[in-house]
Amino acid sequence: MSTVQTHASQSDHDHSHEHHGPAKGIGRWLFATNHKDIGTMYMVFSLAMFLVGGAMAMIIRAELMQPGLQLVDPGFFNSMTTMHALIMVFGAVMPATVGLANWMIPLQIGAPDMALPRMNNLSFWILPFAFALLIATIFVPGGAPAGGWTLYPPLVSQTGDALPMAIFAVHLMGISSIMGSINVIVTIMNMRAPGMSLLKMPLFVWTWLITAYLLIAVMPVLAGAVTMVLTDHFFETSFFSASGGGDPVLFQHIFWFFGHPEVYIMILPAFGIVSEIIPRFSRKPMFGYDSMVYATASIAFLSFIVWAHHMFTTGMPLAGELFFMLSTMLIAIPTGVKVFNWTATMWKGSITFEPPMLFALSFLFLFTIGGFSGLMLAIAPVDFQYHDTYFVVAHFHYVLVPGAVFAIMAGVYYWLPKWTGRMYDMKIAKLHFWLSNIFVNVLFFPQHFLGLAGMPRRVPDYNTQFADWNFVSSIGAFGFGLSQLLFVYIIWAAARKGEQATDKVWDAEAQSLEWTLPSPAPYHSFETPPTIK
Amino acid sequence: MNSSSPDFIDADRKRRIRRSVIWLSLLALAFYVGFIALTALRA
Repeated sequence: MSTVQTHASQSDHDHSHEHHGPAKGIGRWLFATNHKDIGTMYMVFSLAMFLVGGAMAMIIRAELMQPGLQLVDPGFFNSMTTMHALIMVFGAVMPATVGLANWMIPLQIGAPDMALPRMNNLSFWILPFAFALLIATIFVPGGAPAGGWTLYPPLVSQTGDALPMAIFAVHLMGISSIMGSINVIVTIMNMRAPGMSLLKMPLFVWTWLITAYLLIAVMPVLAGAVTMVLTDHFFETSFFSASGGGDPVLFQHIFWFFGHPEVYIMILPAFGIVSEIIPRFSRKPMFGYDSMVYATASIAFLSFIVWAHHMFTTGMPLAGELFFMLSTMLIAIPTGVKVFNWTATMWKGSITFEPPMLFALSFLFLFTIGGFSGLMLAIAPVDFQYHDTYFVVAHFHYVLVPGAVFAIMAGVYYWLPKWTGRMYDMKIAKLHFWLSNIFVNVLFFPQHFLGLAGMPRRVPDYNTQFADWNFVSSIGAFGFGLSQLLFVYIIWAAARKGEQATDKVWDAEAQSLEWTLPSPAPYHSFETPPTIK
Repeated sequence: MNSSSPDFIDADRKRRIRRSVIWLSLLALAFYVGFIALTALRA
């Protein structure tokens, strides 16, 4: 990776383009084409959706706090689990990583902006309409979709008037993601500063390049699948209808051909963020940079050939079970390379524990727990026991919450002073970390026990034998949910009244280009490309 | 109203960007149409 770079003084550029700053008022945001403005909008939108999806999670955990039906009717409960998942996956995690990509990719490759700024504006502004449509389904006859985020037919056909709305919303999200990905690939391939070869790019840029290819390959597959559900429902086709000669299990194959790479779409940028933070706060270069790149590419490739491990219980030939079991286990190798490299980077490093590093370290431990439970689920005969239990819920929440979400929070804490020019309150940020770290384990770890004991997922009521751990899990959920209000406060307070941040921000040697810019990063940066030595 | 950076992309780079966009869009379209076609053949 590059470590030395030269470029003309950034302040000279700022003076020469003072006439070309941000537009005033709402127009700045509606017609935004500046990557920093669009990145900010993505991040704010993602935070809003994180709170909406989180509120739904609170409803779910409140209902599950005790056995019996207390607060909501079962149909609404099922809508909540479905909507929580769709909003968190497509509205919170993905837009957050796209927001980080918008902010950081041009800064890290020394480009003045994204290659396609107008398409960037459109990619973002599609999202509020898509999610307004999706959330509005709660209020239409029949209620919001309740068949799970996987939208399996024939169950999904029981959705009322919400079905076409939800499918259109999924199409809009897909179009937004595809346009965003095209923009990322085109920017990275065409806008890098002179001298920045591919293997000199920061790892966050690398992980996003690979993620963008994954998105282009699989979002159209999801769009195709839901288009066929739509035509089955309204135009009497029989793609997935057994009575017309179709095959409902075929939908599952197509869905998971999208769904498994989708997991890596959420986690690869998280890997990139952690790979930026751990070397910085260990005061050492990344151990095994090249192997990190190859491991990322290997994970992306393998993600296309493991989809049916989500479907062992639908029945498949023994050879199929073996293939999908072993290919899934292979993913542990490149993932292990990454965990090894992060650990080796810290080895004998001069480590300090600022909030970004705390979140990155928690990611390292807790994501690994999610990875190991994934290995357990990959074992076909074992999966027959665990399938559709709370063990699966515990597994993917460990991957996505202390995995993807913690990495995103680490990224926000790492780059926020560079974005705003202001430092946040370290003490409250550390408090936010410790509360989140404790409560996330109180919330999700007991769900392993519930799943192993046989509690099924997606149920509003359960046998009294599961009462104790459900109570503990709900307490963890309320604690975790409330802790996130601190996160909102920290960002708000930093932006309004934080102390001036230095250009380097952190007391450690920086390697990538964004740290050569002033804090806050000027509205237009790298108008003269830097030269990478 | 344009708040993006002033135009620093030369004509040759613009051509390469346009070509990349077309190929990537076609790739996405191929996955969309291809998977529907494969399902239709299987159903």
